[in-house]
Amino acid sequence: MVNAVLSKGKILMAIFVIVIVAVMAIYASQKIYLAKSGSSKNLTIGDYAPGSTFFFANGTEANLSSYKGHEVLLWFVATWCSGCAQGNELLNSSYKEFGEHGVKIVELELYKDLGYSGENIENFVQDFAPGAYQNNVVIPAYASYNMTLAYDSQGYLDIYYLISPNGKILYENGPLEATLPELLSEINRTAGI
Amino acid sequence: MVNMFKTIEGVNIVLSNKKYAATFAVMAIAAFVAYSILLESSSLNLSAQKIALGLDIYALIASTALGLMLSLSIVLNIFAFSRSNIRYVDKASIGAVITSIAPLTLCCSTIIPSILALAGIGASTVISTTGIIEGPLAEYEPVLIGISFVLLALSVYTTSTRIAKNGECCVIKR
Repeated sequence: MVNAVLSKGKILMAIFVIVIVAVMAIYASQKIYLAKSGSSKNLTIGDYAPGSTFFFANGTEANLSSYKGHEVLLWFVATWCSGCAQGNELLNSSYKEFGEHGVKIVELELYKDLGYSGENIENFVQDFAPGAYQNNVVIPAYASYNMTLAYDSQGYLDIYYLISPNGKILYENGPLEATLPELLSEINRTAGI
Repeated sequence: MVNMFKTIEGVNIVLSNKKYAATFAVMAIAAFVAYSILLESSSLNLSAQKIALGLDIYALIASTALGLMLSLSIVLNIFAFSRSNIRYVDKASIGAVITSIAPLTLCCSTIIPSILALAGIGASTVISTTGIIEGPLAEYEPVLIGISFVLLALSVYTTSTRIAKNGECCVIKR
């Protein structure tokens, strides 16, 4: 009986240790996966970015060629994602740095919000990044089905691609709220490429 | 009627033991790190930049509160298990661990999409179903965190009260 009571205590301790180890393993696997294969299996740094279509809030159709000659950040989000909202809040404090380098941010709601309807993308950006929106640094848009499939076939949330003025992928990462310093240093590094 | 004196007395009995106090401290730090740093897709994720901008007050408070309550609950339970006159298992603490970890790991990370991909589900299905699983978890994440905090508080109250009523006796010898 005594051993049984002691083993229950050890089981509880083991559960806690397993949870902590699992969280660490999840964290490590995410890092390793993103580092090895990038956010999308189909796209890697140096590739030409697919010229898929997307739609502005007013329904106008556009594609990446509309931004030829400018560095563009394609940021894929879901509007129900709390991390994406925090990424916008953080972006709102750093948008001048993007503006100074002439980088346009196209914030794209993944196709049909990946199957769970949230706020519309324009309101989402206005709510969480009002300064960046008003200064036209962040442009809210809707990714088409083909664009979502081309850039995010795994259905990840909060991933982004930095595209050079000639349409090549310079950098990819995510989530933005956790990787903004790396993104900004990459923008500084690639300025003028 | 909640007897806070018994709760404090029970916690005091356990934490006055150096071994349990050290275990509590290590677990609290580990849980805080897990909640606030390792789960970088969750709303509790902290970063120096966000702290500097004052955006992380909610995350800081929630991570600290959950880390402290979780470790206190576990240490109290371990203490209670090791006393032959208590022999108490509080299942609320296990439920609280699950409710606090699940929304933070399952929503907004690469886990659900990776599981779907491993299950052999095609890309077109993945991009139309990921949100169905992750969306509700994201939407109700603050509620789930609140529930886990309440469960932990209940666990701490129940276990510490039992410890206080039974006193510091009856340590099981190996």
